[in-house]
Amino acid sequence: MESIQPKTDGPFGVPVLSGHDGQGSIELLPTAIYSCDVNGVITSFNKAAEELWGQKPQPGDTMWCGQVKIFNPEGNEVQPELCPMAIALKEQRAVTGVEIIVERPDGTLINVLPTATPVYDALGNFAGAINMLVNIPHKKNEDLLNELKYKSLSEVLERRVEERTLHLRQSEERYHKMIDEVQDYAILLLDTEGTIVNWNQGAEKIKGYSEKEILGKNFRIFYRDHDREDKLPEKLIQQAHDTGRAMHEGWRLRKDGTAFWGSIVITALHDDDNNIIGFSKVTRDLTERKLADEQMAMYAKDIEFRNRQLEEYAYIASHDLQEPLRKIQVFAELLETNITNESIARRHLDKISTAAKRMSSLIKDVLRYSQLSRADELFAEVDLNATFEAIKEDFDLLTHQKNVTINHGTLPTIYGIPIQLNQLFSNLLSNAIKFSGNHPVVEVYADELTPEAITDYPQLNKLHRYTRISFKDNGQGFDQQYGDQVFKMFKRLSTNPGTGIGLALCKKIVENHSGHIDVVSETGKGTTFTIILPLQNIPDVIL
Amino acid sequence: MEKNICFLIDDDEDDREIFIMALENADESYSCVEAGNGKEALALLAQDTAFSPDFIFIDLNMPYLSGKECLQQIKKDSRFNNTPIIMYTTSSYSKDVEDTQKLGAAHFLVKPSGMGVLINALTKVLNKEPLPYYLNYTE
Repeated sequence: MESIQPKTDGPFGVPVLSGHDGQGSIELLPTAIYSCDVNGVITSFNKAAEELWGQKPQPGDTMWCGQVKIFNPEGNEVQPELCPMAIALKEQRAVTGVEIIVERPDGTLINVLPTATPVYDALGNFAGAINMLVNIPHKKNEDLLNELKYKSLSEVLERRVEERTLHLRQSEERYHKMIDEVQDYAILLLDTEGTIVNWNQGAEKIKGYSEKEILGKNFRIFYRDHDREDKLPEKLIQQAHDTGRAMHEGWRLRKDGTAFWGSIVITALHDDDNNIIGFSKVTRDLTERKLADEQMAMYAKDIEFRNRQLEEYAYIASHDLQEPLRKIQVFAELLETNITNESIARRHLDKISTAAKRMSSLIKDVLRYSQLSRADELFAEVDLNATFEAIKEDFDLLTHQKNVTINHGTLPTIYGIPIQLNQLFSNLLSNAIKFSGNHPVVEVYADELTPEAITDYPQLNKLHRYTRISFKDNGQGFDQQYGDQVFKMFKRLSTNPGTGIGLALCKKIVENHSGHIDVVSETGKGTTFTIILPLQNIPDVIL
Repeated sequence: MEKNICFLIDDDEDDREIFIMALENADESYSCVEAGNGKEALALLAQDTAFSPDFIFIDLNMPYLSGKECLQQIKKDSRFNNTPIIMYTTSSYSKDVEDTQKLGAAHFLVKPSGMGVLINALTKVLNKEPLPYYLNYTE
């Protein structure tokens, strides 16, 4: 690249560009170039400089930048004494790389990159500066600049919108995927009526329906018959509607009819105007936990039951079995001292014999009672009609002797321990005959306990069905205030024969079947025993 | 001479017979009034307001009204504030012992299995000798 060598042969030794006034190569250069003396007065310029400025400066008169207005790229006007040429002269240094905008007399703008360089004479004295102005073509004028500006702005906006859209789409997809692929929770979207409009894989897994089968159905489909009859799904929706949220735990049905223990939360969904537009329903299958809880409760109940039994046995050992033994000892001692008096001795021997017999029957009863355990493998379907007919036959002779009338309705078939149910009916009938009056009538009828009635007995499981059998007689009866005592072991309210274990056995049998027994009686009017027994096998119901 | 009175409430006929035999041997000055159960006993006490036994013996395990309930009822009557009430029973169940002591019984006498032992026990009780609450001579 040919460098410009300024000469200091102009008037007063100021630098001039050779050939500025004629056919020199500088003159013909397409790049604007000009020189100033140390005072900033333009001493020479070429054709391109003249074109760039849009006017011809007066050499020796025009200062620094050629009578044009200049601006920085930010659009602020730059004072002539601060233009690159002025600074190069003032500070005797090269000023390059600072873009400026030149406004020509006709108002057009042009972006240029100046290169102002100080020059020195042959003796090394500072002589002025030359400046080369390179046109930046893509920023030719304001229109172009603005066009470019707007174009890039709209491009940026467009790109941003695209990015955002993509991001949103990805986020939505991720969200859908997240909901869809949750396996442990059934997540359903319901409309305001409870119709299923969307659900996830977890729902499919927990409830067993395919998406095609379930969409458009009401979520009532998951509820058991009596829950539907009770309008439980509607109540939950109403609660979510009124309070924003409804929570519930209970047995629900899968497609195949099996039950699972569901823990649910229904949440109302609102639009911007706070109108309810639907509900989300999240269900967890807590069957395993529920079964474990029930198992624990059963163990706890069993332990409590066994503890009570141990206490009962301890009481029997400390009291009931001691009593005849003590009598044998006392009367044996009395017999010894009265051995010579035959009538007294015989009387004492009788006492000893009676006490021994009583002790023997007590021991037998305690054994019978203790053997009455709940042994699950013995459970079977038992037609209570057949059981009762067999018992009636056993008591045939006695009922004829005492002229007992027995009326009974149809009894259900239940799941129970046959031998124990046999004993239960036998004890109750024997009791009714034993305490009968003049024209004994025994009535045995059964019905199913209503769900409302089940709630009256806290120990019964609300999920199961129960039969209620009433065993009514018109015999001696007793004062109702002793109702609790009759079921206690060896507790007798009368002097009638018996060890007082019959009703304790009945109670234990009923408890072995997870049922309930109670009694209502009135002295002289008669007694009614009510037995409540589950109709189905309870473990079957759960599983 | 007017006799001292023991009021025995026990549903067991044999035990009443044994008690009366032992009482005669323990202290001749005492006679026994019997009641076959708690209900009967309370009825008797309510009926005869002049009836003032020197000692009351109550069995625990009785139909209708248990010995504990019977004790509670009698304790409510200020007439018997100074009458020693002795639980007289086959039971040696610790809960029964504790409960009756709380209810204000004087002693808990476990029915002995020998006549001689019972006579001795009754002699001490009737003499109001210093004795522990729980009297069990069967061990």
